[in-house]
Amino acid sequence: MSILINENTKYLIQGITGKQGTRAAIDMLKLGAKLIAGVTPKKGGQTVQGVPVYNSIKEAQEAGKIIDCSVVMVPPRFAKGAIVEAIESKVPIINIITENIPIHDMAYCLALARERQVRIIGATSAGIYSVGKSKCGPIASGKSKIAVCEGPIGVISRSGGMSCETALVLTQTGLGQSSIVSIGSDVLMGSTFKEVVELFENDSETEGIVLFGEIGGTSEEDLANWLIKKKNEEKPFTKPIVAFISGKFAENLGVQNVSLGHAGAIIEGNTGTREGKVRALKEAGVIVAEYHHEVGDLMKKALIENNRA
Amino acid sequence: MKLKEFEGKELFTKSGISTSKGILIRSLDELNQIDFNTSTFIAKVQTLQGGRGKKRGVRIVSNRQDAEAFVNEFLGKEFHGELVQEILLDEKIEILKELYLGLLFDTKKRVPIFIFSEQGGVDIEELQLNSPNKIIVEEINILKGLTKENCEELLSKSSFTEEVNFKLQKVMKNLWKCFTQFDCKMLEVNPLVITKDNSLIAIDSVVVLDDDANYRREIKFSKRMDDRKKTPREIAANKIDENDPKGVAGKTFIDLDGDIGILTSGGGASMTLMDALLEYGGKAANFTEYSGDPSREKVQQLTRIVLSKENLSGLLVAGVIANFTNIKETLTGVADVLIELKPDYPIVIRRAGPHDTEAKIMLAEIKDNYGLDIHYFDEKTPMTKSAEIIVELSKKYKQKKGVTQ
Repeated sequence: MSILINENTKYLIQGITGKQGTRAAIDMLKLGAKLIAGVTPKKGGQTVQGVPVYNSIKEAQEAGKIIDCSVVMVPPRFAKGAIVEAIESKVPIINIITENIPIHDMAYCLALARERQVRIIGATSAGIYSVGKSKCGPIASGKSKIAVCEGPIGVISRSGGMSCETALVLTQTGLGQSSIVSIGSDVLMGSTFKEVVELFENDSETEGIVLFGEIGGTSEEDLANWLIKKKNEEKPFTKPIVAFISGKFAENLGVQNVSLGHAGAIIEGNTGTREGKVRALKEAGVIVAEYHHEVGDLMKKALIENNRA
Repeated sequence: MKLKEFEGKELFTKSGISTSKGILIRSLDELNQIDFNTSTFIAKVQTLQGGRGKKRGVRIVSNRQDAEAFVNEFLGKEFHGELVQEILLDEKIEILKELYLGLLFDTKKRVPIFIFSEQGGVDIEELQLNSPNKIIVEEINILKGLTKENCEELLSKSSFTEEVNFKLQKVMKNLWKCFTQFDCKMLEVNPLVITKDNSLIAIDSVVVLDDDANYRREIKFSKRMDDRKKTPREIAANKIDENDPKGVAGKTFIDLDGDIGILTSGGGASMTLMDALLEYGGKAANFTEYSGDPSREKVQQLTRIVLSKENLSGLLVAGVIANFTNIKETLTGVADVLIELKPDYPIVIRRAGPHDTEAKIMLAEIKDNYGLDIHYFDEKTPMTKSAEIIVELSKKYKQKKGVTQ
C-alpha cells in the first residue's frame, strides 16, 4: 500500500514539450514511472522520449489512455485551462507543479475539484514520490535521488527543495521513506498538511510522519487543530509526527508574506507566525525540531517510544 | 501589491462604485487651482499603512492656509517610516451611517469570503473583539460568483430601508466585480457611508492586488517604493540577471550587519540555512541566493559583491543537493573570486549535485595552490550542519585575529 500513487499509477504530463516538462518526463521514465501520455495543444502527434503527445486529455483518452494522475507543468497563464481540462476529463489526482498561478484561478480550480471530488496536490509542488514504486514531477531528480531510500516515514513538505533534504536527513539516520509529498506553499493549497497526514494515517507502510513547514498561511495550525479534535473525540492520531518550521530569520527581518491587511486578521487571527505554528503543533503533540538536521534523530526516538521502531 | 487609497478608489470607480471626489496633490503649487471658498476638505496622507487617522495623518482643512500647513507638514516627508508622495484632498461628506465591506480568501476553506458589518468606520479587528455578532461572513462559491442569496444573507441582520438595501446589493455586486476583474487578493471599503440623500459612497479603500495576475490586469500601477533605500551592494546584485536570463543570481540580496558572507541556493533551503545560522549564534553579512544553473560569470559577480563587505570572518556557500545546477561550473565562479582576493578567513562549502566530484577536486587544488582555508562538504553532511561549522570556524578565526565581537 502507499498513498496517492503507486507502481501502477498511469501519468500524463500537461506541458510535456516544455523544457521543465520534458526534463520531468525523462526523470520519471528513468525511475520506471508509467508515464503514458503528454499533452501540449497544437503539438499532438509528436513524441517526447517515446511518450505520445496529444492536443488534449480528451484526445489521449480517446486513444485508449486511462490516466490516474495528471502532472501540470504549463506556464501560469495557461494553468487554469489545463487544470479545468484535467478535472473535466475526470482525472482523479492532479499534481500542479506550475508556480505563480493567479489566486483567483486557483480558487476556481479548487472549487471545481471539490465539486467533482478530484484531489489536487500543489500548486508550486515539486511532485510526489512513492519510494521504490513511482514518482511524478521533478522531485528527487538527478543526483538528489541519492537522498531517498525506502522505509517507513512519510514526508510532507511545503518547500520543494527541502523535501529531498528532509528525506536525506532521515536516510542518514537510517530511516527510509514511504512517500514524499511536496504540497507547495501557495496561499490556497490543493492539499494541506492535514489532508496528507490523514492519508498517511491509513497507510500501512507508514509508521511516522515528518513535516517541513514555513511561516505564512494556516496549514500548520489547521493540522494542529485537527489533531486536537481527534484527541478530544478519543480517536487520537497514533503515528508520531515530527515537524520543522522554517522562518525564524525571515521573521526577524520582517520579510513576511504580504499581510492580507485588516480583514485577514478575522480569518487568521494571530496565526501564520513561526511562534504560533510551533506552539499550536506542540500543543497537539507534534514534536518540533529546532534544527532541521535533528528531524531524523527525533523521529527515531519517537518511533522507539511508540513501539514502532 | 498593496494600493494607496486613491489608487484603490480608481478601481472602485471603474467597477461602478461611487467614491468621494478627491483632488490629488503632488506639490504645494497644485493647491493654487483649488477653490476653498465653496468647499471644505478632508486632507489625507496617501500611504500604504493603516490607521492613518489615529496617527494624525488625516485632518479637516477649510481654507487655503490649513491646506498649505498640512501639505507642508507631510508632503515629501516621512510618515511613520513611509515617504509621503501624495496628499488627497477629499470632499467632506455628510455621513448618516458608516458600513464595512470586505472581500478576501479564507485560506483554510480555500474560498472567497465576503464580510459585511453595519458598524463600519472602526478597525475590523476592534469590531471583531467588541461586537463579533455585528460581523457577517459569507462564503462565496466562485463557480457561481456572488449570488442574490449571498447578498441577502449578508444583509439579513440589518434593517435598512428597501431603497438602501437595493443600493447596497448593487455595491456588493460591483465590489465582487472589482475583486475578480482586477485580480485582488483582498479589498476593503471602510467605511462605505450612507448619506442624507441615501447615496452610498466609498470614502476609503484598502486593496491588495495579486502580483501573479499583473500580466492580465488592464490597469497598471506604478511600482511600490521599497521600505528603505537599497544599498549599493543590493542594487549591484539585483542587476546581475539583467543580461543573462539563465538561472537567477542575486535577484534577492539583503545587506545585513553580520560578518559571515552568505551564498545559498534554493528558496526553502536558503531560509532554513539562515535560521540555522541564527540559531548557532552566527551573524550573516548578507542574504542572497543563486539557483537554476546560472553561469560561472553570474556566480562570480555575485561572489564579488558578497565578499566586498569589509571585516568578514567567514563565507558559507550552501544549498540542497542540486537537481541540475552544474556544481563545478557555479563553484568555479566562487573560486575565481577567492583566487583573486585570497581571503584568509574560513570558507565552508556544502554542495552536491551534477559534476560535484570535479568541483571537489577543483576546490582542493585551489586550496593548496593559494593557501585558502576551504572546507568542502557534500551530501554526507546535513545542510544545516554547515551553518554550525562556519559559525565555529569563524569564531576561532576571530579569536586568532583578536577581534572582539
